[in-house]
Amino acid sequence: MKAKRKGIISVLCAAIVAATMLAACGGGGGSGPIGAGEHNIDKEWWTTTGEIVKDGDDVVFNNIEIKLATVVAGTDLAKFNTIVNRFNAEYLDRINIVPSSITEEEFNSQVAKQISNNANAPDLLMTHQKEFKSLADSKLIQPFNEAIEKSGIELDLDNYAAGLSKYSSLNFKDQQFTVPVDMHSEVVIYNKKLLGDNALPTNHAELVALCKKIALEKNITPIAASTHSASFYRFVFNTAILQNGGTFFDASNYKADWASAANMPAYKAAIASIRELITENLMKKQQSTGDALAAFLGDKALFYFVEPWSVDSVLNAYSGDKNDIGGASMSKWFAADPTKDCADYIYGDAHAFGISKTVTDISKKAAICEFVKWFSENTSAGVSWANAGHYSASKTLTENTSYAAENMVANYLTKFYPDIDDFQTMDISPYTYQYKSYLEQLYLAMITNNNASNDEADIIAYQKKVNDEIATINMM
Amino acid sequence: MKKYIKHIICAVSALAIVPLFTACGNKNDNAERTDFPEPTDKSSWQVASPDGSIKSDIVMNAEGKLLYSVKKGNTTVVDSSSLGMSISEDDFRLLDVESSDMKRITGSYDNKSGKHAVVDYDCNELTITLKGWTFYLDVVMRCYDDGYAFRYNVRAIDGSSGVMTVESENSEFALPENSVMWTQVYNPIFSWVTSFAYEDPYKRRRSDGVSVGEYLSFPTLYRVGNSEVYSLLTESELIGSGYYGSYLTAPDGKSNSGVLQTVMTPAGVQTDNDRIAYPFSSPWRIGITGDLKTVVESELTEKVYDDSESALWTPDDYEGSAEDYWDWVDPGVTAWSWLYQQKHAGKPYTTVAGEVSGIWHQENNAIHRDYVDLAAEMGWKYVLLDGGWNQDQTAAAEFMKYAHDKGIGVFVWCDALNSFSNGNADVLKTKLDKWKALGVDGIKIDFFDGQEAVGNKHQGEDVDTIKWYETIYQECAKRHMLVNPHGCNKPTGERRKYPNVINREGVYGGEKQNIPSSYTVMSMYTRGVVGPTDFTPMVKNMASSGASMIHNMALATLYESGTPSLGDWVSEYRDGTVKDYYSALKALHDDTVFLCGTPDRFYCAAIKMGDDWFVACINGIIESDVSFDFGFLEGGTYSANIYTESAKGATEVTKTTEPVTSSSSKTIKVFEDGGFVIHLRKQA
Repeated sequence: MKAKRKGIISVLCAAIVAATMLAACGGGGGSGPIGAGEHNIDKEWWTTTGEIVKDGDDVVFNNIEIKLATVVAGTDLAKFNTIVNRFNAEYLDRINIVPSSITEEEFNSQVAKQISNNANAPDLLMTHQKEFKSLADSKLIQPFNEAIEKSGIELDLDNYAAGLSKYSSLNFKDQQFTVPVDMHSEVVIYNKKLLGDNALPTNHAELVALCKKIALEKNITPIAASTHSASFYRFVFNTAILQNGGTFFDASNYKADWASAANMPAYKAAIASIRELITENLMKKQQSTGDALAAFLGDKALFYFVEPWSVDSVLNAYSGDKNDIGGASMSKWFAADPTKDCADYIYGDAHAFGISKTVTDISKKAAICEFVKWFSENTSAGVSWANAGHYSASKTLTENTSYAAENMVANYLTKFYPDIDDFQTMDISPYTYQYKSYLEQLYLAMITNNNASNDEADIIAYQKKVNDEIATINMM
Repeated sequence: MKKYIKHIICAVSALAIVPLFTACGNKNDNAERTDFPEPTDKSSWQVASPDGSIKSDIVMNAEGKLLYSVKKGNTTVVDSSSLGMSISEDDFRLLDVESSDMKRITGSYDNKSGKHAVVDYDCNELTITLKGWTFYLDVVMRCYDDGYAFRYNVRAIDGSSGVMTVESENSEFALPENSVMWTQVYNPIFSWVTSFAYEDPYKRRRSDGVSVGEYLSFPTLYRVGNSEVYSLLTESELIGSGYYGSYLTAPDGKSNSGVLQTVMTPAGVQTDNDRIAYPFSSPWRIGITGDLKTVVESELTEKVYDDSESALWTPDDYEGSAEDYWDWVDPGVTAWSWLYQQKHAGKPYTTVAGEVSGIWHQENNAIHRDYVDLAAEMGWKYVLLDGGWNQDQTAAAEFMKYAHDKGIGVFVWCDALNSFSNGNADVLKTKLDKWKALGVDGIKIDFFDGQEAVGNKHQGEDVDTIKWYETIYQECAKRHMLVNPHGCNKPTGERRKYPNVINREGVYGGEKQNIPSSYTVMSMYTRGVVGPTDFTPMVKNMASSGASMIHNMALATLYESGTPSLGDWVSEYRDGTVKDYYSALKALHDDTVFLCGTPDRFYCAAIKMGDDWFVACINGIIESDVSFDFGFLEGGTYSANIYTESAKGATEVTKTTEPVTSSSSKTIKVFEDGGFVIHLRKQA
């Protein structure tokens, strides 16, 4: 079968369904979102059966099957499946991972229901880190702690990117609910021939100056980007907010505080930094994805904003010397004050592993730890995943010389993310979907204007919208 | 090739061999009675394969429930499992045994395309006729040396015809403990449809890990417990049955039990899908059973169609022999530009002669002429024009003439529903007439999965789609047109009834690109066993990872179909290292000999095409040394062109030549995603 028909997914509907379903998860111990701040677990909502069999220090696994549900569903799925197949081959007759891929929207609407009803529930979840808070609040996932302790299989969070591992507790005291997998964001690749002897910009002023110079010399629009594509506004705008010192919500009450005294200047500076690139004709507003790609492939753009999992295919499609394409970091590119620590931040998303509460057998829990550890430390798996555009969150890998020497890692991923501890995601909240959705709408509203005259009003308006929706969810 | 039929049916009195009535249940006569006696079976029967290695026992237990089991030697392949159907018009829980008959069915037929030029079939068939209130239910169980097959007949006692409502089919497969499966789980193409086109990869599963509502597709392979016995479950003779396509799932209340039940396809809206015409013969439920060699070499999916004369369809007004009716069907390798075009869509097209002529698009006949020239040069027989080919009818007709003048036939792409007003037979006939007049020799017909259906009919494998398949097969046959269904269901043996259905997708194929090699390996033991497979391999890997060049060469050799579509750019086939190899490939596999491998590691087989033999191996993840001997060769010395790769992910292959005989053996290292191929020509 050739091209398949694409349909329209109502993202908002999915979000409401998911939120409603989570809020209504009374069965199976679910309780819906709980208040902000750190919590103790007074009574465990998961159970453990059986005993771990060991041969010396090694756990003995006997044909254990683990159903893995993942939101990996795009061009990176084949590489993910290859990694799983490698694990299965190496652990033949001991552990077998059975992956199933679903979209993030389906994940939110289906998996929680499957776990809550214990009906065809996955054992292991691999989704974006931000999704796990709701699952933990609804008592649908269980921590790794007991399995790590009893199996002796180490999953030390100190070995993972600090900006990601800090979310593992999901605000439950002394609990490790998730293990980070990777990081991804919008990234920048550039044309070395067009850059010539110029240096890559290290802050916003240098970016503007360089682009103006190249635009004049080459008679091109130096930045190719689809400014209205989801990946651009999800990642670049949020990066700009963080680089200007902004935050996405008030951690004490989960409410969006975009119009607060602390955030309003950051949000305005964020949109201003992007808008300037458009008004100075350094980047086209609303350029189509195809046109942006064509401009870059045709040596008509210096920089190209792209999803990291597409870098491999862009390189394949480039008809010139692939070594002429390099990777750049957008660190400080949108910061009004490049001297602040936050100016280095890059906002993105991250996959993480979590265990369904329906897993009871301690041997299966240990097998899950074994797979997660293997995924975090196996060089071949890490390289495959890097070639799919996902930089490992595991320092065991990023500090591994074989991994670091791999072309995609050495020439691209480490350029995109010079310091993995500067990689940031949405902080812990059960409402990340709502923040993300309304931040996208806020961006689209503001970028439509060529000046800042209406920015404050937009920020106030969309802050109200997101908080109204959160209030509605809490009333269900 | 000489055609022969030796059709011997030995009708034997049921009482002469079976049933083995077990009416005496007093096995503990001397024991003190402390409880009620064990309930005893009402009746029991047994049928065995001709060589006696496969036996099926069927019982009607004390409650009147029909159960069966299957053994291969001393190994239980299917534990006691339910049989039967439930219909609204009768109560099949209260059946009387009317009769039972045993007969031997044996014969052979010639393949137009398949794994062997000639296929022998031989089985014992037990038919148990059970009588309800208004219907007979026949349970037909066959045992072949390479597996078993069963089906149901439902017919009115008064001989009338009509429509019944199927409440459920109760066929179950209780897989023995510790069995491991390789199966393709039903997974809709998109979240907003239920359509499924059998294009998901196969995965290894524990048999006791299936939940109610989790649907496994046919075919599904399993290894029996910890034995070396394998069994591949599938269905056959679906086309023409009036039934829907089926899947396997855990029966209600039996999640994670290892028991699988045959159920209606989960794809589609299922409007009136349970309304089935009678008299009715269900599709066969088949278990191809034996060691891996037996399973992968088997053509049981097609053998159940019995002898060639009655199996082959002919129009009602046709009076000649059935075999003569189909003598126009001509298998052949096919050149196909669409897959390579995807890398260059919209860019200027430079012909092989070096001239810029239009852009990369299927309406550009300059592209197709280059592929026709390639096909003619390589000794292939067809070119395939994909979506967009028919925007200029005059140019299309000119192109068809160009191809035919060079002895090359032409396939064209169409949409199973959109091209024919959502399944309108009159539109189908009109368009086929028009295309035939243009010079079209066959159609690659896409999107049977229902994602483009308008309304609730023609979705997936509902009864309307199954009938639509057959309408298309028949109308194409009347016009001497070949059919290559894409976006379709699994093969169910239709090639035996409609030899023009010469190829089929329904596979996790080359268009996916970046294909994990473990999936191609598993597909050889599963999907590739049951019928033609249009995988569409390239020469060079299209992506930066996955199947290597040598792996692709092996795929082009191993996947069997009547019109294998080869998808790379013309110059790749003209490369001096591989040209001789690709030009020697044929569509019909005269013989297939499994050499070694397992579904989790690699697959290696010898294929005979014409006078030449090919050995091809595809490897999955783990590097290993593959050892085999050439015992499949006839006498004499062969010149072996051996193609290997030097390292993982190699983009080139190395060719060496050496003499071998049937007493030779060889060990070749295979890398991740790699393999090897050998072309053997008998020396004069």
